[in-house]
Amino acid sequence: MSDPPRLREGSDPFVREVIASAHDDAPAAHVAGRVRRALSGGAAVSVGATTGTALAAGAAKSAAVVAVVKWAVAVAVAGVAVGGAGAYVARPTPTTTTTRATSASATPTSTATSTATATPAPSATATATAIARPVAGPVTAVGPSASGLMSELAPLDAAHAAFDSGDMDRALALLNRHDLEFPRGQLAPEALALRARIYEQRRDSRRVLELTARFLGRYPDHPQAPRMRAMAQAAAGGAGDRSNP
Amino acid sequence: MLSVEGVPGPLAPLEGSTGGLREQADDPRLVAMVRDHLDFTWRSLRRLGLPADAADDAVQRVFLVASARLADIDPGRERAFLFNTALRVASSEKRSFARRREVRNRDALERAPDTAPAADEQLDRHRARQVLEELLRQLEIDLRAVFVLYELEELSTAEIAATLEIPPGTVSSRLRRAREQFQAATRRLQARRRRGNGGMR
Repeated sequence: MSDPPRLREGSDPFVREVIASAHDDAPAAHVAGRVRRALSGGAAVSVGATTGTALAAGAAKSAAVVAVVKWAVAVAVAGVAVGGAGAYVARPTPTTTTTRATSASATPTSTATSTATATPAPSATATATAIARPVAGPVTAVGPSASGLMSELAPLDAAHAAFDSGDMDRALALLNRHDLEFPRGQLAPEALALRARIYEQRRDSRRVLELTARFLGRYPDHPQAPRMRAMAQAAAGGAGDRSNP
Repeated sequence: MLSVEGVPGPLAPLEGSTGGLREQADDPRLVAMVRDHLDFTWRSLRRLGLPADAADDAVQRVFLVASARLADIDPGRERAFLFNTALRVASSEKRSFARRREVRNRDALERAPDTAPAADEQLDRHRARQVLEELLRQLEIDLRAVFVLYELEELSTAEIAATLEIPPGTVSSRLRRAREQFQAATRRLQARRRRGNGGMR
Protein backbone atom coordinates (compact mmCIF):
# COMPACT_ATOMS: atom_id res chain seq x y z
CA MET A 1 0.00 0.00 0.00
CA SER A 2 1.38 3.37 -0.96
CA ASP A 3 1.73 6.26 1.37
CA PRO A 4 -0.94 8.94 1.24
CA PRO A 5 -0.16 12.28 -0.39
CA ARG A 6 1.47 14.70 1.96
CA LEU A 7 -0.35 17.74 3.20
CA ARG A 8 2.12 20.04 1.52
CA GLU A 9 0.80 18.66 -1.76
CA GLY A 10 -2.80 19.30 -0.80
CA SER A 11 -5.18 21.93 -2.03
CA ASP A 12 -5.35 24.11 1.06
CA PRO A 13 -2.93 27.03 0.63
CA PHE A 14 -3.04 27.79 4.33
CA VAL A 15 -1.91 24.28 5.23
CA ARG A 16 0.71 24.30 2.51
CA GLU A 17 2.09 27.55 3.82
CA VAL A 18 2.16 26.33 7.38
CA ILE A 19 3.81 23.04 6.50
CA ALA A 20 6.37 24.75 4.30
CA SER A 21 7.34 27.06 7.13
CA ALA A 22 8.80 24.10 8.98
CA HIS A 23 11.74 24.07 6.65
CA ASP A 24 12.82 27.49 7.83
CA ASP A 25 13.34 26.31 11.36
CA ALA A 26 16.96 25.47 12.00
CA PRO A 27 19.31 25.70 14.94
CA ALA A 28 21.44 28.78 15.27
CA ALA A 29 24.99 28.42 14.10
CA HIS A 30 26.38 28.31 17.60
CA VAL A 31 24.35 25.27 18.62
CA ALA A 32 26.62 22.82 16.86
CA GLY A 33 29.63 24.27 18.61
CA ARG A 34 27.94 23.99 21.95
CA VAL A 35 27.06 20.39 21.36
CA ARG A 36 30.63 19.59 20.45
CA ARG A 37 31.94 21.41 23.47
CA ALA A 38 29.44 19.63 25.68
CA LEU A 39 30.59 16.31 24.30
CA SER A 40 34.21 17.14 24.84
CA GLY A 41 33.63 18.58 28.27
CA GLY A 42 34.87 21.97 27.28
CA ALA A 43 32.49 24.83 27.63
CA ALA A 44 29.51 22.93 28.78
CA VAL A 45 30.16 21.09 31.94
CA SER A 46 27.73 19.60 34.30
CA VAL A 47 27.57 16.84 36.77
CA GLY A 48 23.90 16.25 36.82
CA ALA A 49 20.84 17.61 38.36
CA THR A 50 21.73 18.81 41.73
CA THR A 51 25.11 20.24 41.29
CA GLY A 52 23.93 22.22 38.37
CA THR A 53 21.02 23.43 40.35
CA ALA A 54 23.33 24.43 43.09
CA LEU A 55 25.34 26.43 40.68
CA ALA A 56 22.34 28.14 39.29
CA ALA A 57 20.94 28.85 42.67
CA GLY A 58 23.84 31.04 43.55
CA ALA A 59 25.65 31.56 46.76
CA ALA A 60 22.86 32.78 48.93
CA LYS A 61 22.41 29.55 50.76
CA SER A 62 25.06 27.54 52.38
CA ALA A 63 23.70 24.37 50.92
CA ALA A 64 24.13 25.83 47.52
CA VAL A 65 27.73 26.57 48.24
CA VAL A 66 28.27 23.04 49.44
CA ALA A 67 26.76 21.69 46.30
CA VAL A 68 28.81 24.02 44.19
CA VAL A 69 31.88 22.72 45.92
CA LYS A 70 30.85 19.29 44.78
CA TRP A 71 30.44 20.60 41.30
CA ALA A 72 33.77 22.33 41.31
CA VAL A 73 35.55 19.29 42.66
CA ALA A 74 33.95 17.13 40.09
CA VAL A 75 34.85 19.48 37.31
CA ALA A 76 38.37 19.75 38.56
CA VAL A 77 38.73 16.02 38.61
CA ALA A 78 36.96 15.13 35.50
CA GLY A 79 37.47 17.93 33.11
CA VAL A 80 34.69 16.36 31.19
CA ALA A 81 30.97 16.61 31.02
CA VAL A 82 30.46 13.93 33.55
CA GLY A 83 26.74 14.33 33.37
CA GLY A 84 26.90 11.88 30.53
CA ALA A 85 23.46 11.12 29.35
CA GLY A 86 22.03 12.75 32.40
CA ALA A 87 24.04 15.87 32.08
CA TYR A 88 22.40 19.17 32.13
CA VAL A 89 24.49 21.30 29.98
CA ALA A 90 25.28 24.90 29.63
CA ARG A 91 22.61 27.44 29.03
CA PRO A 92 22.94 28.76 25.56
CA THR A 93 22.28 32.31 26.64
CA PRO A 94 25.60 34.07 26.35
CA THR A 95 24.89 36.72 28.93
CA THR A 96 25.98 34.83 31.95
CA THR A 97 29.19 35.47 33.70
CA THR A 98 31.38 32.49 33.30
CA THR A 99 33.81 31.35 35.86
CA ARG A 100 36.96 29.53 35.13
CA ALA A 101 37.90 26.51 37.09
CA THR A 102 41.43 27.18 36.31
CA SER A 103 44.10 24.95 37.61
CA ALA A 104 45.26 22.42 40.05
CA SER A 105 45.99 25.15 42.51
CA ALA A 106 42.43 26.28 42.60
CA THR A 107 40.88 24.84 45.65
CA PRO A 108 37.38 23.59 45.37
CA THR A 109 36.15 26.02 47.95
CA SER A 110 37.54 29.11 46.35
CA THR A 111 36.40 28.01 42.96
CA ALA A 112 32.98 27.25 44.20
CA THR A 113 32.58 30.54 45.94
CA SER A 114 33.60 32.59 42.99
CA THR A 115 31.46 30.53 40.70
CA ALA A 116 28.43 30.79 42.84
CA THR A 117 28.65 34.51 43.27
CA ALA A 118 29.22 35.03 39.60
CA THR A 119 26.31 33.00 38.41
CA PRO A 120 22.93 34.60 37.95
CA ALA A 121 19.67 33.05 38.87
CA PRO A 122 18.38 30.25 36.69
CA SER A 123 16.16 30.99 33.80
CA ALA A 124 12.55 30.03 33.79
CA THR A 125 13.26 27.67 30.96
CA ALA A 126 15.60 25.57 32.99
CA THR A 127 15.55 22.01 31.87
CA ALA A 128 14.48 18.98 33.75
CA THR A 129 16.51 19.59 36.83
CA ALA A 130 19.50 21.72 36.52
CA ILE A 131 21.77 23.49 34.21
CA ALA A 132 25.39 24.11 34.71
CA ARG A 133 26.93 27.33 33.61
CA PRO A 134 29.66 27.30 31.06
CA VAL A 135 33.15 26.82 32.22
CA ALA A 136 35.65 28.50 30.02
CA GLY A 137 38.57 26.41 29.06
CA PRO A 138 39.73 22.99 30.02
CA VAL A 139 40.33 22.01 33.56
CA THR A 140 43.49 20.34 34.58
CA ALA A 141 43.21 20.20 38.32
CA VAL A 142 42.93 17.01 40.23
CA GLY A 143 42.26 17.49 43.88
CA PRO A 144 43.37 14.83 46.28
CA SER A 145 40.00 14.63 48.00
CA ALA A 146 38.00 14.43 44.87
CA SER A 147 38.42 10.82 43.86
CA GLY A 148 35.78 9.68 46.31
CA LEU A 149 33.34 12.16 44.94
CA MET A 150 34.11 11.08 41.42
CA SER A 151 33.56 7.48 42.37
CA GLU A 152 30.24 8.47 43.79
CA LEU A 153 29.38 10.51 40.76
CA ALA A 154 29.78 7.57 38.44
CA PRO A 155 26.67 5.62 39.45
CA LEU A 156 24.71 8.80 39.87
CA ASP A 157 25.71 9.94 36.44
CA ALA A 158 24.73 6.60 35.01
CA ALA A 159 21.40 6.83 36.81
CA HIS A 160 20.82 10.22 35.24
CA ALA A 161 21.66 8.75 31.88
CA ALA A 162 19.14 6.00 32.39
CA PHE A 163 16.57 8.52 33.56
CA ASP A 164 17.11 10.64 30.50
CA SER A 165 16.77 7.68 28.22
CA GLY A 166 13.52 6.77 29.89
CA ASP A 167 14.72 3.59 31.52
CA MET A 168 13.39 4.13 35.01
CA ASP A 169 14.06 0.57 36.13
CA ARG A 170 17.69 0.93 35.27
CA ALA A 171 17.87 4.35 36.87
CA LEU A 172 16.46 2.91 40.07
CA ALA A 173 18.85 -0.01 39.98
CA LEU A 174 21.75 2.37 39.63
CA LEU A 175 20.49 4.53 42.43
CA ASN A 176 20.17 1.49 44.62
CA ARG A 177 23.73 0.61 43.79
CA HIS A 178 24.80 4.14 44.60
CA ASP A 179 23.04 4.05 47.95
CA LEU A 180 24.54 0.69 48.74
CA GLU A 181 28.06 1.75 47.89
CA PHE A 182 27.81 5.22 49.37
CA PRO A 183 25.40 5.04 52.29
CA ARG A 184 26.75 8.33 53.60
CA GLY A 185 27.65 9.77 50.26
CA GLN A 186 28.19 13.40 49.59
CA LEU A 187 25.68 13.23 46.79
CA ALA A 188 22.95 11.62 48.83
CA PRO A 189 20.63 14.60 48.36
CA GLU A 190 21.11 14.42 44.63
CA ALA A 191 20.41 10.71 44.62
CA LEU A 192 17.30 11.17 46.69
CA ALA A 193 16.07 13.95 44.43
CA LEU A 194 16.58 11.82 41.38
CA ARG A 195 14.74 8.97 43.02
CA ALA A 196 11.80 11.27 43.65
CA ARG A 197 11.86 12.37 40.04
CA ILE A 198 11.79 8.79 38.87
CA TYR A 199 8.65 8.12 40.83
CA GLU A 200 7.22 11.37 39.57
CA GLN A 201 7.73 10.09 36.06
CA ARG A 202 6.03 6.89 37.09
CA ARG A 203 3.17 8.95 38.49
CA ASP A 204 3.49 7.24 41.81
CA SER A 205 2.29 10.09 43.95
CA ARG A 206 2.52 8.20 47.19
CA ARG A 207 6.20 7.48 46.72
CA VAL A 208 6.86 11.01 45.53
CA LEU A 209 5.28 12.35 48.70
CA GLU A 210 7.38 10.01 50.81
CA LEU A 211 10.61 10.86 49.09
CA THR A 212 10.08 14.59 48.88
CA ALA A 213 9.11 14.67 52.56
CA ARG A 214 12.28 12.79 53.38
CA PHE A 215 14.31 15.14 51.24
CA LEU A 216 12.81 18.27 52.76
CA GLY A 217 13.22 16.87 56.23
CA ARG A 218 16.87 16.17 55.71
CA TYR A 219 17.88 18.97 53.38
CA PRO A 220 15.45 21.85 53.80
CA ASP A 221 17.94 24.42 52.54
CA HIS A 222 19.25 22.42 49.64
CA PRO A 223 19.01 24.15 46.26
CA GLN A 224 16.71 21.41 45.10
CA ALA A 225 14.35 21.93 48.01
CA PRO A 226 12.06 24.30 46.10
CA ARG A 227 11.76 21.78 43.34
CA MET A 228 11.02 19.04 45.84
CA ARG A 229 8.34 21.20 47.43
CA ALA A 230 6.78 21.80 44.04
CA MET A 231 6.87 18.09 43.30
CA ALA A 232 5.29 17.34 46.66
CA GLN A 233 2.51 19.80 46.00
CA ALA A 234 1.86 18.35 42.59
CA ALA A 235 1.92 14.83 43.99
CA ALA A 236 -0.44 15.80 46.79
CA GLY A 237 -2.86 16.98 44.15
CA GLY A 238 -2.74 13.65 42.38
CA ALA A 239 -2.29 11.36 45.33
CA GLY A 240 -5.94 10.85 45.96
CA ASP A 241 -6.75 9.46 42.59
CA ARG A 242 -3.54 7.78 41.54
CA SER A 243 -1.63 6.23 44.33
CA ASN A 244 -3.94 5.05 47.00
CA PRO A 245 -6.20 2.41 45.71
CA MET B 1 3.04 5.16 23.96
CA LEU B 2 5.81 5.07 21.47
CA SER B 3 8.13 2.20 21.43
CA VAL B 4 11.64 3.28 22.14
CA GLU B 5 13.37 -0.01 22.57
CA GLY B 6 16.39 1.33 20.83
CA VAL B 7 17.15 3.80 23.56
CA PRO B 8 17.71 2.00 26.81
CA GLY B 9 20.00 -0.91 26.92
CA PRO B 10 21.30 -3.40 29.40
CA LEU B 11 22.76 -2.20 32.62
CA ALA B 12 26.13 -0.88 31.64
CA PRO B 13 29.11 -1.26 33.89
CA LEU B 14 29.65 1.73 36.06
CA GLU B 15 33.30 1.93 35.39
CA GLY B 16 33.99 4.66 32.98
CA SER B 17 30.49 5.99 32.95
CA THR B 18 31.72 9.45 33.73
CA GLY B 19 35.07 9.19 32.14
CA GLY B 20 35.74 8.69 28.54
CA LEU B 21 33.42 11.36 27.32
CA ARG B 22 36.25 13.44 26.02
CA GLU B 23 37.54 10.42 24.15
CA GLN B 24 34.06 9.70 22.87
CA ALA B 25 33.80 13.23 21.55
CA ASP B 26 36.56 12.43 19.11
CA ASP B 27 34.94 9.20 18.01
CA PRO B 28 34.46 9.53 14.25
CA ARG B 29 31.04 8.00 14.51
CA LEU B 30 29.92 10.51 17.08
CA VAL B 31 31.42 13.34 15.08
CA ALA B 32 29.51 12.13 12.05
CA MET B 33 26.31 11.90 14.06
CA VAL B 34 26.62 15.49 15.15
CA ARG B 35 27.51 16.62 11.66
CA ASP B 36 24.76 14.70 9.91
CA HIS B 37 21.94 14.76 12.40
CA LEU B 38 22.25 17.85 14.55
CA ASP B 39 19.75 19.86 12.54
CA PHE B 40 17.35 16.96 12.36
CA THR B 41 17.56 16.39 16.09
CA TRP B 42 17.10 20.04 16.92
CA ARG B 43 14.17 20.36 14.55
CA SER B 44 12.63 17.25 16.04
CA LEU B 45 12.87 18.68 19.52
CA ARG B 46 11.21 21.87 18.31
CA ARG B 47 8.44 19.99 16.60
CA LEU B 48 7.94 17.81 19.60
CA GLY B 49 7.04 20.92 21.49
CA LEU B 50 10.14 22.57 22.88
CA PRO B 51 10.77 26.27 22.36
CA ALA B 52 13.98 27.20 20.60
CA ASP B 53 16.00 27.98 23.70
CA ALA B 54 14.96 24.74 25.36
CA ALA B 55 15.77 22.86 22.17
CA ASP B 56 19.26 24.35 22.26
CA ASP B 57 19.75 22.78 25.67
CA ALA B 58 17.92 19.59 24.93
CA VAL B 59 19.86 18.83 21.79
CA GLN B 60 23.00 18.76 23.87
CA ARG B 61 21.37 16.31 26.21
CA VAL B 62 20.32 14.11 23.32
CA PHE B 63 23.85 13.94 22.01
CA LEU B 64 25.22 13.32 25.46
CA VAL B 65 22.88 10.35 25.67
CA ALA B 66 24.11 9.22 22.28
CA SER B 67 27.68 9.63 23.42
CA ALA B 68 27.08 7.56 26.50
CA ARG B 69 25.27 4.88 24.55
CA LEU B 70 27.28 4.93 21.38
CA ALA B 71 28.21 1.28 21.61
CA ASP B 72 24.53 0.35 21.88
CA ILE B 73 23.50 2.16 18.70
CA ASP B 74 23.38 -0.14 15.73
CA PRO B 75 25.09 1.23 12.64
CA GLY B 76 22.50 2.84 10.42
CA ARG B 77 20.18 3.42 13.34
CA GLU B 78 21.74 6.67 14.47
CA ARG B 79 18.92 8.90 13.34
CA ALA B 80 16.32 6.61 14.84
CA PHE B 81 18.20 6.58 18.12
CA LEU B 82 18.45 10.36 18.13
CA PHE B 83 14.79 10.83 17.35
CA ASN B 84 13.70 8.40 20.02
CA THR B 85 16.00 10.04 22.52
CA ALA B 86 14.69 13.44 21.49
CA LEU B 87 11.23 12.11 22.06
CA ARG B 88 12.19 10.98 25.54
CA VAL B 89 13.88 14.23 26.39
CA ALA B 90 11.05 16.33 25.01
CA SER B 91 8.47 14.25 26.83
CA SER B 92 10.39 14.50 30.05
CA GLU B 93 10.68 18.24 29.68
CA LYS B 94 7.06 18.61 28.91
CA ARG B 95 5.85 16.38 31.70
CA SER B 96 7.97 18.17 34.22
CA PHE B 97 7.56 21.77 33.27
CA ALA B 98 5.34 22.44 30.37
CA ARG B 99 1.84 21.68 31.53
CA ARG B 100 1.10 25.28 32.28
CA ARG B 101 2.85 26.34 29.12
CA GLU B 102 0.76 23.91 27.11
CA VAL B 103 -2.38 25.38 28.55
CA ARG B 104 -1.09 28.84 27.87
CA ASN B 105 -0.28 27.93 24.32
CA ARG B 106 -3.65 26.41 23.74
CA ASP B 107 -5.16 29.57 25.09
CA ALA B 108 -2.93 31.57 22.80
CA LEU B 109 -4.15 29.60 19.83
CA GLU B 110 -7.71 30.29 20.81
CA ARG B 111 -6.91 33.96 21.03
CA ALA B 112 -4.94 34.02 17.81
CA PRO B 113 -7.80 35.17 15.58
CA ASP B 114 -7.99 38.47 17.38
CA THR B 115 -4.68 39.65 16.03
CA ALA B 116 -3.93 37.29 13.19
CA PRO B 117 -4.19 38.23 9.56
CA ALA B 118 -7.06 36.92 7.48
CA ALA B 119 -6.81 33.33 6.37
CA ASP B 120 -6.39 34.25 2.73
CA GLU B 121 -3.55 36.61 3.44
CA GLN B 122 -0.12 35.38 2.81
CA LEU B 123 1.32 34.40 6.13
CA ASP B 124 4.84 35.44 6.64
CA ARG B 125 7.16 32.56 7.37
CA HIS B 126 7.71 33.39 10.95
CA ARG B 127 4.06 33.69 11.68
CA ALA B 128 3.37 30.50 9.76
CA ARG B 129 5.90 28.67 11.85
CA GLN B 130 4.28 29.92 15.00
CA VAL B 131 0.97 28.63 13.75
CA LEU B 132 2.55 25.30 12.91
CA GLU B 133 3.95 24.99 16.41
CA GLU B 134 0.57 25.75 17.88
CA LEU B 135 -1.14 23.25 15.63
CA LEU B 136 1.40 20.57 16.45
CA ARG B 137 0.78 21.11 20.13
CA GLN B 138 -2.79 20.07 19.55
CA LEU B 139 -1.57 16.56 18.76
CA GLU B 140 -0.88 13.87 21.28
CA ILE B 141 2.81 13.17 21.50
CA ASP B 142 2.76 9.77 19.82
CA LEU B 143 0.65 11.09 16.99
CA ARG B 144 2.81 14.16 16.73
CA ALA B 145 5.93 12.06 16.32
CA VAL B 146 4.48 10.21 13.37
CA PHE B 147 3.07 13.40 11.88
CA VAL B 148 6.40 15.20 12.16
CA LEU B 149 8.32 12.37 10.56
CA TYR B 150 5.86 11.98 7.72
CA GLU B 151 4.69 15.48 6.91
CA LEU B 152 7.71 17.53 7.86
CA GLU B 153 10.67 15.19 7.56
CA GLU B 154 8.98 13.38 4.70
CA LEU B 155 9.95 9.90 5.73
CA SER B 156 7.92 7.07 4.32
CA THR B 157 5.64 5.13 6.61
CA ALA B 158 8.02 2.19 6.36
CA GLU B 159 10.91 4.38 7.48
CA ILE B 160 8.84 5.71 10.34
CA ALA B 161 7.96 2.21 11.41
CA ALA B 162 11.64 1.34 11.49
CA THR B 163 12.53 4.54 13.30
CA LEU B 164 9.94 4.19 16.00
CA GLU B 165 10.05 0.42 16.04
CA ILE B 166 6.34 0.05 15.69
CA PRO B 167 4.34 -1.90 13.12
CA PRO B 168 3.62 -0.17 9.80
CA GLY B 169 -0.08 -0.49 10.45
CA THR B 170 0.33 1.45 13.66
CA VAL B 171 2.17 4.16 11.78
CA SER B 172 -0.64 4.40 9.27
CA SER B 173 -3.34 4.58 11.90
CA ARG B 174 -1.44 7.15 13.92
CA LEU B 175 -0.78 9.18 10.83
CA ARG B 176 -4.44 9.11 9.89
CA ARG B 177 -5.48 10.22 13.36
CA ALA B 178 -2.77 12.85 13.48
CA ARG B 179 -3.85 14.32 10.18
CA GLU B 180 -7.46 14.35 11.28
CA GLN B 181 -6.52 16.19 14.45
CA PHE B 182 -4.21 18.56 12.60
CA GLN B 183 -6.77 19.39 9.97
CA ALA B 184 -9.50 19.80 12.56
CA ALA B 185 -7.32 22.24 14.47
CA THR B 186 -6.57 24.04 11.24
CA ARG B 187 -10.25 24.33 10.41
CA ARG B 188 -10.98 25.69 13.86
CA LEU B 189 -8.27 28.25 13.48
CA GLN B 190 -9.42 29.28 10.02
CA ALA B 191 -13.01 29.53 11.14
CA ARG B 192 -12.05 31.79 14.00
CA ARG B 193 -10.05 33.94 11.67
CA ARG B 194 -12.96 34.27 9.32
CA ARG B 195 -15.20 35.27 12.18
CA GLY B 196 -12.58 37.70 13.37
CA ASN B 197 -12.57 39.33 9.93
CA GLY B 198 -16.27 39.88 9.45
CA GLY B 199 -16.90 36.59 7.81
CA MET B 200 -14.49 37.18 4.98
CA ARG B 201 -12.22 34.44 3.97
